[in-house]
Amino acid sequence: MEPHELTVAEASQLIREGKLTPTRLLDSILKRIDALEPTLEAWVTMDRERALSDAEALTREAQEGSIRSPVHGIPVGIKDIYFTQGLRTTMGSPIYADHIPEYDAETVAILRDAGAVIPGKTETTEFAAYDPAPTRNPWNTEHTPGGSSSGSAAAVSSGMCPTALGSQTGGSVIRPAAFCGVVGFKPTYDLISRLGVFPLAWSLDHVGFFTRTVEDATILLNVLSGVEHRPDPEPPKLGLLRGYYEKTADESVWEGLMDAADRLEDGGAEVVELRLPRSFEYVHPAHSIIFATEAASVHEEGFRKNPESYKPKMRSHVAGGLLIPSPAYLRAKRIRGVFAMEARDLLGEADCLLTPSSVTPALRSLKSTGDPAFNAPWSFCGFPSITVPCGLTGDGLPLGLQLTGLPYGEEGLLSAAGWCERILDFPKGPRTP
Amino acid sequence: MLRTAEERYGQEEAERLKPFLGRLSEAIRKVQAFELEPGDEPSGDPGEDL
Repeated sequence: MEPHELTVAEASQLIREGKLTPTRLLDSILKRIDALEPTLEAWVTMDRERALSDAEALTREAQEGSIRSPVHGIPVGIKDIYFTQGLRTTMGSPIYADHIPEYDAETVAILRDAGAVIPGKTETTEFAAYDPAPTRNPWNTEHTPGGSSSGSAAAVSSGMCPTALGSQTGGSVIRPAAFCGVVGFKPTYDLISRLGVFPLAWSLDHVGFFTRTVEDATILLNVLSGVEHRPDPEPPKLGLLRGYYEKTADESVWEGLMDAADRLEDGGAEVVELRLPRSFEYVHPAHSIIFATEAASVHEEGFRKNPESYKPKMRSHVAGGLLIPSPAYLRAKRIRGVFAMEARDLLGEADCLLTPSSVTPALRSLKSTGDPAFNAPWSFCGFPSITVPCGLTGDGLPLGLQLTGLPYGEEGLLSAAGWCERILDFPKGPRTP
Repeated sequence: MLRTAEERYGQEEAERLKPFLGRLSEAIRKVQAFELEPGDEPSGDPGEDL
């Protein structure tokens, strides 16, 4: 097995045991990037020189018996809306094409301190919104990898790095992870610092990350949150949400979820059907009002000076968001409070909620990153959610199941996800396009 | 919203924005139809509700 094929946990163990060096791991990752990047276009900016120098220093530390953390020597891709000191951070926008931050985002600083190696910055849709990046899906390069964390999802899926940071305001972690057949995890709102992450809509923005296993997602969570979560995979009680989800899902997606639910039940999980709360039908309009209003506020000055610099979808959001009356924004926020309360009640009846991770499989287009509608409710209320690959469509595209838990219930959510992953047994190796 | 968009951004841009503004107007109409109770106070960030 080549080092780029290893998961975070596998590589970390080999580094601890002295059987793999950070330098050797990075070398394998860079060769993989060289081989696949012309096809996948997952990276905006590489930082080979610093990555090589950091890997050499971390190799020396490891040889001296000093291991900083479970990500010591592990390459981590960073979505290009996270500030990186001295390294270009474009936000996917021509406006910031030459922007070089003076400091690292807090998450990036934590990862560097913990011994992570950063090979470069991954592609994002413009300002992590809707205008697509050039990245292609490793499972079929005619299809979108999803967005907005397009490069991070494709890079992890294809073994160009074992893990990468993303962000989610609507469905920008869960959806691309599902489209690319990897694990995507969005912890509770504000559990992980957003300092130095360029905002899209600040009260909806979440830090998230991509891995190829739930075990690796736990490692990332522990390093970034500074809290030791110890999930214990066991058969969960899953609250299946039909109604809107069943009506909206593409047929192949719903069939995939039902098949996965049957397998989970056969494995020992309890699957109960739960009804969506009364406020659910107001969640998407309220989310879109908060999204557009806050995005408009972030970009108001820049937009007034130079509206043509924005790509079409972002320009519409900013221009439209500036016209939203403040009572509508405040009403949307009040609805959020009601929905959070009702969703909490719903989670009193199951360990976590079960839905498909996306409305469709990855679309055959690079002009749209797909529909975030199945993920937006959990970004809206700030509850943690995770996607685990659960099967393939007839066309060979990955499907994911989305689990949502109570706020700060990451340990329970990861326990359930880890158990589901074991039963569903989706291939964990990197995908070669 | 369309009229305000015409005044602020000009007719051509307002025309381009028309489909998005239509969706936004529908979203506003919808949230206005939600029956809130006096205890359903505005929240700041979701952290305050969690």
